[in-house]
Amino acid sequence: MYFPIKRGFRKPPALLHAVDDVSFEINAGETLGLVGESGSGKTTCGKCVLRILEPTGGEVLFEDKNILALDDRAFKKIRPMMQMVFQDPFLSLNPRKTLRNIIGDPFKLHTNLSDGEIEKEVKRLLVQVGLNEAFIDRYPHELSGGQKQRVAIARAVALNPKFIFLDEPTSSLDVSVQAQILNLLNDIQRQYNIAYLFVTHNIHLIKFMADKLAIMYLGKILEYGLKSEIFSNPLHPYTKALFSAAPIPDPDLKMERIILRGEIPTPIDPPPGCRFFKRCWLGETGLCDKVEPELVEFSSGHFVACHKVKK
Amino acid sequence: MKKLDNIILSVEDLHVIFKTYLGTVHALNGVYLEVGKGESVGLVGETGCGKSTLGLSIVRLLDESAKIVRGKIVFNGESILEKSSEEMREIRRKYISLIFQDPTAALNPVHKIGDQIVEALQMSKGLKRAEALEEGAKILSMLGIPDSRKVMEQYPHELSGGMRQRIMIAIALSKNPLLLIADEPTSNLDVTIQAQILELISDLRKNTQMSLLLITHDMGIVAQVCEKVAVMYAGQVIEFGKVRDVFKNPLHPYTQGLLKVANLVGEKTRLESIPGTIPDLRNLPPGCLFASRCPYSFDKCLRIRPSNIMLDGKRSVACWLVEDKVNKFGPG
Repeated sequence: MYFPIKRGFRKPPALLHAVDDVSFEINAGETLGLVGESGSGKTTCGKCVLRILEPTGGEVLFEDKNILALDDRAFKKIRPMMQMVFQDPFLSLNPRKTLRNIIGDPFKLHTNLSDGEIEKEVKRLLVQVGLNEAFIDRYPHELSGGQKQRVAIARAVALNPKFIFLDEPTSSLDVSVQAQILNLLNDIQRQYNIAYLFVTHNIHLIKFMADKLAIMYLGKILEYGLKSEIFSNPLHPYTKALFSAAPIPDPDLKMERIILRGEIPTPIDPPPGCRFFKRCWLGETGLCDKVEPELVEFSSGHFVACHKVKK
Repeated sequence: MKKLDNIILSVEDLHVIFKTYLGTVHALNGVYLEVGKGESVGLVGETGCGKSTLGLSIVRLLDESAKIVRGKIVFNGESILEKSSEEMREIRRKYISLIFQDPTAALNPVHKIGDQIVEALQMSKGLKRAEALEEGAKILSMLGIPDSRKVMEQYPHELSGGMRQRIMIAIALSKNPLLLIADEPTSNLDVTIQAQILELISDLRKNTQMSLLLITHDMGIVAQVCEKVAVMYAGQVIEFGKVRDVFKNPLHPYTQGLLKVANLVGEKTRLESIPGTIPDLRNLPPGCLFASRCPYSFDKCLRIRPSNIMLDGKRSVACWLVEDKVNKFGPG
């Protein structure tokens, strides 16, 4: 996914390489954790999968159908199957609608249920996400942050989707509430066998939620594989730094902390070579700053894009 | 009473209310806190527990709608609440520095970085402009900012978030303050940048005699940076002590819950959570503010609010469970 950046009259636009040559797959009932820092292209990636953004190139296969090639009518049939929960429930719920409408609207758009049947469904969903039927005529401002996020989840699961893109669903919540929401998401996944694409920058959280991991940096996947495999044997220098940077609430645990120098460079017309080169302590001038490393299979199902990782 | 000359800041029974059109919000309900000279204290708690209100009360920068009802704040042997606003400015200018969560909002967008640092140095140390420029560049390079002369010629929008936060730290530290209050200094930043900034703050603290009050919601950061921790809930410090003591043996049920929740590490099928939500700060219950969510609460908790109980002079807890134990077995 490239975004054109206008540079003024008569100059050709620059290209912001938000997501560059990214591939992954998620099976039913599975969670892929997409981890990276701000600006690494996690959210853009998810939006492309849902076709909220039209990618510059590539394929998104949903049940073996390339949804990017579908016309609007055909795609509308798929849309209820693919849902999203946003980071900020304060912004993603319409403040002028009651929960009856917020959760009921998907049914109005995509099914032929009568108002009475919709009300029944909305009540069922409210109970399922841990609220109760009495909430049905409330407005979002009457709810706490955690309750709002529950409503957003109820809306997302309303039409029995097969895939949900979760974009930092708990990062605006307090830790004690965060745990409640994560438990709810896990329960729902188990019950309906939904595939999750879980975007976050929180390493501890992804350790709990994900089955597979993809580590993103500046629009590229640097490491990809089973969560257990990546956590027990992180290969890419960036992955190692990222894991060691996350503070652990244990005063006795003095970790070998890798402090990275510098910051993420701009994704506008990125230089050739490895995108992590400028901050990498293993970088080899002449190799890493010239040739872009490919994502290669290091061991079964564990992929890494780094010249310096040798078997 | 402990010897006061080792204490840089003490807060006693501080009550702060906000008058809003929806009623009176009781933001702080009897806060006790102590920061020793050269000590780093972490102030943790969830949204709305009054962490930032406490930080702002200490420097008397509260909003007009806020009112300090009663209590005592003593900084460096002097009572803060009896100072005139001119005297307060003097204290903020020379002795207490603040770093806020959002450096973009704290830096003036229309002035160059250099000018903002120079202004701070001129105000606090009375340096001439040329000297201040020299000193400013020195501080910036000490903070690991490459090409400090060039950065001083730039405007805030030309820098990244991590860089801006470093500038804020530079301004805060330029006057060699006795106390630095850092309000969520890294929560806008990425983890790898956060690690850089925390490392920086820890290093600087070791090299100076500065005390640090670090306000955060992240237990991990406290474990990494601080010596002592104060846990806040609904406008009270409910547990206070050495980081190691509190993290290894939390006494208050809320602290226990918070630590369980924060410990996402490891393979688990279900996460611990604290049921319920914080009480409405407009209508406080008469008893313990945590009682409605507490798994161990009994009738006394609902009737009388516990105050901070000192255990062996180092640690305090506001919980009846602990008091009953202390009465039975003695402190410690």
